[in-house]
Amino acid sequence: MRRELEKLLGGYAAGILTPAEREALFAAALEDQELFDALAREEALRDLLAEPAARERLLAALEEPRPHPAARLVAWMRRPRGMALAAGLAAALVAAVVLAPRRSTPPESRPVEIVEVRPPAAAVAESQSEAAEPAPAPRPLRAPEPRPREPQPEAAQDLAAAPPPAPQHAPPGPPAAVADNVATAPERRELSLRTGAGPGHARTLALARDQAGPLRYSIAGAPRAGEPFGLRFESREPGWVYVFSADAQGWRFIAGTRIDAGRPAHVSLRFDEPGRRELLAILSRTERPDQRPGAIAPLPPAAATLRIVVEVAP
Amino acid sequence: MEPSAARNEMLARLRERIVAFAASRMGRDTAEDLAQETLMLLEEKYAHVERLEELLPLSLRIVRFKILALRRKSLRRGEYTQVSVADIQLPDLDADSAAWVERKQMLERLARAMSQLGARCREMWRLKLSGKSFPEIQQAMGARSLNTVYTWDHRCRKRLLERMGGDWEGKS
Repeated sequence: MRRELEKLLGGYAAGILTPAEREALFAAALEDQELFDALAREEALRDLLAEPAARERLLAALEEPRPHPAARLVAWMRRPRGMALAAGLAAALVAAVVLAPRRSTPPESRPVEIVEVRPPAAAVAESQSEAAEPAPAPRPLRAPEPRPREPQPEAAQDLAAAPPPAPQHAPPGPPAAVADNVATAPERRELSLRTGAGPGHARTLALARDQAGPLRYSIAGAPRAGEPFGLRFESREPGWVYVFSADAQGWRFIAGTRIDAGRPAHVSLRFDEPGRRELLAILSRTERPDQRPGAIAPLPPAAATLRIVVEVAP
Repeated sequence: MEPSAARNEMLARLRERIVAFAASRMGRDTAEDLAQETLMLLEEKYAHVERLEELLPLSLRIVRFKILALRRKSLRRGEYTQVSVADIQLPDLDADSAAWVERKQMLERLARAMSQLGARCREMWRLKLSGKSFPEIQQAMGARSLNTVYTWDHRCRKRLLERMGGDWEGKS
């Protein structure tokens, strides 16, 4: 019944429901919390559409002719998501052609779009201190290497071919050093890929060969200046995800959420200025209610960290 | 049931719904206060409104304004934006400027998202914005049944909401 009445929500915001439809919808909303919440969320749209000038503006937008399908395809291909998909398809095609004669050899692993899942030194220390959970053997770490601010313009650069550096332990340092510690186990070799349609539209993707990290993320929508976009996290263990943004003073807390194992959690972000943003997502087993958005804050104890590079388009 | 008794029952239900909705966005205590203030307003200023078809949209509108006011108050107090004194900007004393900008941004996002919809959804929205009711839209679009129109509109609304990032105001 609720599903049927939910279909009236679009008419509520536009103010076109008949008296019978309104009566049915409101009576149901009074009894059903989810329907009531959905109605309440429509209030902003209803408020906007009640203004004749806003309706005129939207009608004008609807009257604008849609570009030719070919032009839309080209425009879509120029968007970061389109470029990424096109590059992925091209890579898959090349891989299929190259590997087709050797089909008997099992495929190594399927690349997945996740980014730099790196258990930091802090996480290793934490897991070692917890006797209840068997701590993994500490992995050899290499000191942070200077990363190029902009990835290479080539479609892909296989870093896996490079010989692994000599193992050494990174010194405990400031938060940036924690985020930049890179485990050098062979399975963590990464393949970086840059796609984009010019400055401001570039996205850096990293294709990791495994999904061993406890925390993964994906970006919902193309980040644009002044517009909200979402980060979707998935974790193999419950806890709290805190997102920090790097600036000259340190790590600034910008968002956080509770996360359950195997269930996605979302945070919404917005940057008013275009450009590259370096974010640090921390999966923590402890809640930090004192974290305030916008404040420079000490990093919470980390079970895992994720370094996220976001290109905010103008 | 007498009109006043029916109204009181409706208000009691409304209070329950408002508290639950507000509690999902803010603290439970604040949600209780907000619901109480909304009901007081309905009692004192809108005592003549008795029908659910008027009472529910009115209460939703009041709740939205009160939530927005609470957010702005928190921002003014710096409850969630602890920044260096040197970074604090001079306040704009025009009380409605923030709301005006948010509204303008939402309109532009909505216009952009609508222009990207497919032909059927654009036509659906065009008819809705022209004030056509669902039965009228059924005729205009040649749909077999009213349920078909409801389904089309539901899908179009969902697609538009997805293009808006899952929230009309972009605050989710």
